[in-house]
Amino acid sequence: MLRLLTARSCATRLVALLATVAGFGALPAHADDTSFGRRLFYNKAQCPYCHGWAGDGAGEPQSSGGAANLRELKLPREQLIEVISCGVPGKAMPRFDDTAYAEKRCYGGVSEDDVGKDLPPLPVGSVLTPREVAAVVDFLEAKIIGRGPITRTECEEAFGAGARSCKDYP
Amino acid sequence: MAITSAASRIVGCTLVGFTVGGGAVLFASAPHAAEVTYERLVNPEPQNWLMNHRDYNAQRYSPLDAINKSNVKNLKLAFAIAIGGSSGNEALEATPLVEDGFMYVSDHWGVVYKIDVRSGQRGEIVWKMDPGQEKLDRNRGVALWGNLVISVTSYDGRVIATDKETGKIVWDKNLRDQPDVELTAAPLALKDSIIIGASGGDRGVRDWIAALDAKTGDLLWRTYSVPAPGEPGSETWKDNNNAWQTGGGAFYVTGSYDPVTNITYWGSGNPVPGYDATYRPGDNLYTASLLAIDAATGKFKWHFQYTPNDNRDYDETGSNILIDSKVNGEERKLVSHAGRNGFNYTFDRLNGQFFKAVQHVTKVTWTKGIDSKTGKPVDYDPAKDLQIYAEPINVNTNKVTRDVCPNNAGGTNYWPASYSQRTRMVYIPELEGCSDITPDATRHVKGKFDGGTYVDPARDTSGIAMVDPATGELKKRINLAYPNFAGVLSTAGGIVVTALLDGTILALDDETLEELWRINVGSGFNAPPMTYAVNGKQYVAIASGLFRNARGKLARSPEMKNVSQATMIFVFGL
Repeated sequence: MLRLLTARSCATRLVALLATVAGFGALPAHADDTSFGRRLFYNKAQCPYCHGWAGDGAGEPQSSGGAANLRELKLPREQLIEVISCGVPGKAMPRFDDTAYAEKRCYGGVSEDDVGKDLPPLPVGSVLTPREVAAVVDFLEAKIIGRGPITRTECEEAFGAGARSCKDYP
Repeated sequence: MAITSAASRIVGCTLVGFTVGGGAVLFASAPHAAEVTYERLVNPEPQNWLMNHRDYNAQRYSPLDAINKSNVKNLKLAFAIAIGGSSGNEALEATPLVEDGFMYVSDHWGVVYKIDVRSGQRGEIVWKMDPGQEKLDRNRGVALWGNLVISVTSYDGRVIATDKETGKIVWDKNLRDQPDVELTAAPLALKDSIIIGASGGDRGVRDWIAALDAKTGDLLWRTYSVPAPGEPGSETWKDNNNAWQTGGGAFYVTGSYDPVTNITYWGSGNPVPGYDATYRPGDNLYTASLLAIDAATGKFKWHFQYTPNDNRDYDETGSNILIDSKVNGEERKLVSHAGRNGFNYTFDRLNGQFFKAVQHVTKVTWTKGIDSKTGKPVDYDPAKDLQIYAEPINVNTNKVTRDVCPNNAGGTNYWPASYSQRTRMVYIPELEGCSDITPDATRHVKGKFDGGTYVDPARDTSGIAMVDPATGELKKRINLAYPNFAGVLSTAGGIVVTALLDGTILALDDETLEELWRINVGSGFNAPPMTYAVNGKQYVAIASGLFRNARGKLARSPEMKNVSQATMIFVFGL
């Protein structure tokens, strides 16, 4: 689909796209091999709605609130995958695997009946396949978990070089 | 987004955007339209919709009657226009404006579109102005003034005036005074000024209303909803946290305006942190209030606070409808507001005298009712710094969960009600549901200032409530299966039009609320319906595509789990 955009926005979006789409022609120096997971994190899964764009738990005020600060998360990979797939019963963290409880894939085989009204909701974005959940975890482990305070560099990775809102960060 | 479609977009950019340059790309030449003068804004032509709420009274009532009770059953899709769509998960919340066959609308990147709808066969995009907004957010529409289209850019904090003919930016002013301030309300154009409401309060912003010189964009005045220490109202912030600096009081729905008195009426949002009142003991003026503002100076002429010391996120930023009506045989100038707290209120708009309140939702648990003399909740105790109302005694205790109705999105919200000059009734798009709210004292830091968490334990639904503003009576209500985030349009044709999160748009009889027509377009609505006419033919238009908070209200509607959203403008005609 051909879309016609203004020059200025094209420039910004081109830079952002080049920074995020792996294997797209001449890549900038900081080639990002977790780009697939990043794209899922920001767009398809809508993680920033609750967790904030930097994963620090500062999501949109209209979200449920109380989302984990992913930067400080200390979970092994298998548990990260389980929490994303299964959500957290009784909390706002959704299940990204729609049939996870129906097919008893969560927390040692807990069923939909077991969780009852505490069944984690479906995401505001989209559900994810196991391959996509793994890619989101790849991105989290590479770019979010264990990072200290948010930096300008990190902000510009998300919003493009020279983004005005990134001047709020050192 | 697939990489192939991204790549083709880049090609599109390279071929067109980079070679043409400037603020906009012209697709077709258009004849020069008349200037939108103040006189036209005061007396809008029947066929046009020149401002967000159609008129300064914010009635969202159109005198068009070609589409009416007897023929609305034949309404069908005339054409549709795709806008936005440059990234995943976009939404539309704007009311399209139409002037003499041209539509002006904004998407959630702050992009403004001029669309030629004269043919009635298709919508041709004449130009688009892309401000390069950095973050995807919300945008509730534009204003027309002179030969300018005025728009806002959310977290960028910019207000932009675009030449209506060329799509080129005339002025571009940055009002971002705090990192998390947000501009999402459609601007309000007055005689010589543009009124802008700031929001983002829930992140810990001290919100404001500002007036800009319409010709230059220069700031004329800026009034904060939360007073600084020493200013009137500051005595209602009894904390030691400097809570006034992060106190909220957002404005994200366009106000109304009385040209006779030069007063503009705006509703303010909740105090922040929203779910934890212990951080900000006191009534927290001027949050959750109706503010009558002198448009010349920005000074408050009078105010009325609905829910002092709120801790349920009951913003009262929804529209304020100005109505001239007989009350007890006497001609009165009224202002009517459908409250997020579940009640509809009527006041004398000249002096703020409270008239009537009536519950417009089915279920209210936070209060036992509204005092018929004062308009305050009957369980409000002015001697208390922390209000409990009818909630459990431990309502303000950290980490204690309570179920409250209406839910945190309210009994209604930014989606506007309508007043029909035909029936003299207000039609309220009300939301039905409850939330489990848990205060959390750790959520008092910049960017994370909600003061707690919530979940909706059960399915949310909605209804249309018909209220007589002169008597304060609830005349009728119908229930609808999905939440309403769209609002209401009423017309001289005797129809009331509304839309739901499941993608249904429907027309009701304005007397019986009986359903006359409906269609489901498959993409949800959280933008208001409007109507216009061109070449003598009337149309109804509405933008689709749900924002994330609206989609969240479908979390307990499992049959909706696989539904996607499309950012379209649908235009219907006979």
